[in-house]
Order: sequence, then C-alpha cells, then structure tokens
Amino acid sequence: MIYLELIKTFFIIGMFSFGGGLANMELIRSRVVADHSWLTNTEFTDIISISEMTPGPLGINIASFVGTRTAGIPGTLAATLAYVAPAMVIVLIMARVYYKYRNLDAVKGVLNGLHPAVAAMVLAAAVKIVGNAWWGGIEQAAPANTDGIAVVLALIFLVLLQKKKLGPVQSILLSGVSGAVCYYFIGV
Amino acid sequence: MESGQAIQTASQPAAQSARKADAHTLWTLFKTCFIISGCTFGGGMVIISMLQKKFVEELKWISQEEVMDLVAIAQSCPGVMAVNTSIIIGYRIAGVGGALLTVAGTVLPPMIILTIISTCYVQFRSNQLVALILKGMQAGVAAVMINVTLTMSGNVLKKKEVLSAAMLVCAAAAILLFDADVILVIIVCGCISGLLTWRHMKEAKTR
Repeated sequence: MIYLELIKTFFIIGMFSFGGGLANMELIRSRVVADHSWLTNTEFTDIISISEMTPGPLGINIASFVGTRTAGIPGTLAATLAYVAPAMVIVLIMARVYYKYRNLDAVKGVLNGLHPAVAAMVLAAAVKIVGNAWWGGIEQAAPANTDGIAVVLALIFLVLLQKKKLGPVQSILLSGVSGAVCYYFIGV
Repeated sequence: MESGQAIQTASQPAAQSARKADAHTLWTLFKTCFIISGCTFGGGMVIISMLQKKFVEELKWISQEEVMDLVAIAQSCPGVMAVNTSIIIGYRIAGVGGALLTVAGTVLPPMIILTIISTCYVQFRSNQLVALILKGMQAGVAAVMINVTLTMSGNVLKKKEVLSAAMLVCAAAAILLFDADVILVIIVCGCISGLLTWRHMKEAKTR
C-alpha cells in the first residue's frame, strides 16, 4: 500500500533529520531514490534546484513533490504530514522539559557531538550529486563520459561561492542560464 | 539580569496562553505563519528571523530573550528548523492547538506550490529549454554541495580534535564505501556523542 509506505518512509526521515536543509539530503536520497526508486538521481537534483527557487523548506518540498508524484494529492498529505509529525511530538516534549528544568545542556552537548556525522552525510550527498552531474552517476565515473560543461560550470560557481560570496540561489539560477546557453551551442 | 527576566517570562506560558487564545489570536497565528512561509525564499534562518520580527517586535507576544531560547530548542529537535520554530511559537502562545495551527500555516504554502509543480513536472521537463536550464542547474547544485561540504568538514577539522575528525572520516567511509544505512550512522554517532556528553557533565560535577 503506497500511502503506508509513504507515511512510514517520511516519518522515519522526519525523525532522523538533524542539521537542517542540505544536511539531510543523503538521508532523504537513500530512502527516496535508492530504496524506493520514487525519484531518479537527476529528478532528485532537479527538486533541489526547484526548492531553492520556491518558498518553503527543502524537506517539506521533497515530501510534497514525492507524495504527489507517487500517489496524487492524498499522497502529498500523507508524506508531508508524516514528515512533520515526529518533529511536532519531539518539539512539544522538549518545550515542556525546557519550561520545567530550563536546561538544554545535555541535548546541546549530544547535538554538537553529531556535527562530524552531519558533515559526513553532506559529504556523501555531495559525492552522489556531483557524480550525477559530471558523469551521470558516480559509478560511471570515467574520462570518456565526463560532461565537460558541467565540470567547468561547477568549478566556476564553486569559486564564486567561496571567493565572491555569491548566494546558493543565485549560483543555481546563473548556472541554469549559462548551462542552457552552453548546452544549446556546444551540444549536450 | 537579562537571562533572569527571560526565565521569568518563560515560566508563565500557561497563564499567557489562557489569556490570549481567542479566535482572533488563533487566526493571527495561522495567517502570520502562512504568509511568512509562502513569501520567504532562502529557507531556515530567513524564515526564523521573519517570525521573530513579527511575534517579538510587531505583536510583542514573546520577549526577545525567550525567543532565543525557543529557537535553540527548535534547532535541537529533528526536522525542519522553520517548522519547529513555528510549532514552538504556536505552543507558547496558544498551547497544542496553537502549535497545530502554526504548523499548518507553515506547511501549507510549500505543499500547495510543490503539488502544482509536481503535477506539471513531466510536461515542464520535456520542454527543451526547461530541460537545458535544469541540466545547467545540476552543475550549480553540485557547486553548492561542494561548497557546503568544504565549509562543514572544515569546521569539524578546524577544532583539531582527533575524535571528531575520526568520526567524520569513518562516517563518510561507512556511507560511501560500505553503503551503510545513514540512520545507523546517525544512531552510532549519537550514542558516541551521548556517552561523551555524559562523561563531560560528570567531570564538571565532580570538579
């Protein structure tokens, strides 16, 4: 049953999403792309691009997109509500604990200790996403099927992000426009 | 002095909510979250600063000191920070019902927008121009991901703690080379971090 599968998957994603936004990409990708094949790697990156250009958090956007694609509007409701449900319960419990003890040191300590794991997950997601953009998948990484335009564009925008403090939204938009021009004239 | 004040205001959520939770308050809660969520691009921190501005500076429903603590709680919980912040603001002002309303207000705009995009995605993607732009954007997203990776890993390595660095390397290797489940990695790292925190706190107590 697709609704149950959506609810189960997005509930678990919601429960283990630490660090916000791009930090959870590998968790979401592993469930949505690798386990269930609800999206392809390319569609997954498309959704990150679209999310940067529409309001709302990345996680909600992905839950809504996947829900609609797999099971229509009921699917959207199932996936999105399941995604926020664990946060709802945990935040309310934490709020009560806070008003009772006014001390979050233990929680903050554990979360600080999770920073290396979060960094590792971002690294893993980056490898998959870069692999897909440059070679159509990290497994197929070879000089022969390298997308030269994608490599050059990614490196240019990396420099702009690092040195010129260009924002992520602007980077993705500009790379879309310049990429379209390059692919049109040089060929895909 | 300041933190003392924050604790005082924080200690009376029940009294506050009883006074304020009328229909107009509830409508304002929902409307504010809906508008902010629907009009704010750039995610996380941007939405939170908008919520702060509205609830602290304009409506004066929550004090600046308390809102800092509430944001800290929202950040310590799993899930989306903007949603968590709206949950806790709703709860603070009108109890669990308020939290349900603010969450609905925050989630609905992106949900509606993405449902529409998702429905049109296939046609949209088959347009040649759109396909080329999205292909170009793949490189932009790749650049953003490399950039975030460099920043986050750099921050961990900068601390020059052997254990953090080892955790980073082992976790990345487990996911990339051995195809380990991401959730398993989070749980293992969380346990290690929990043990360390517990030891720290015990040491701090005995000192």
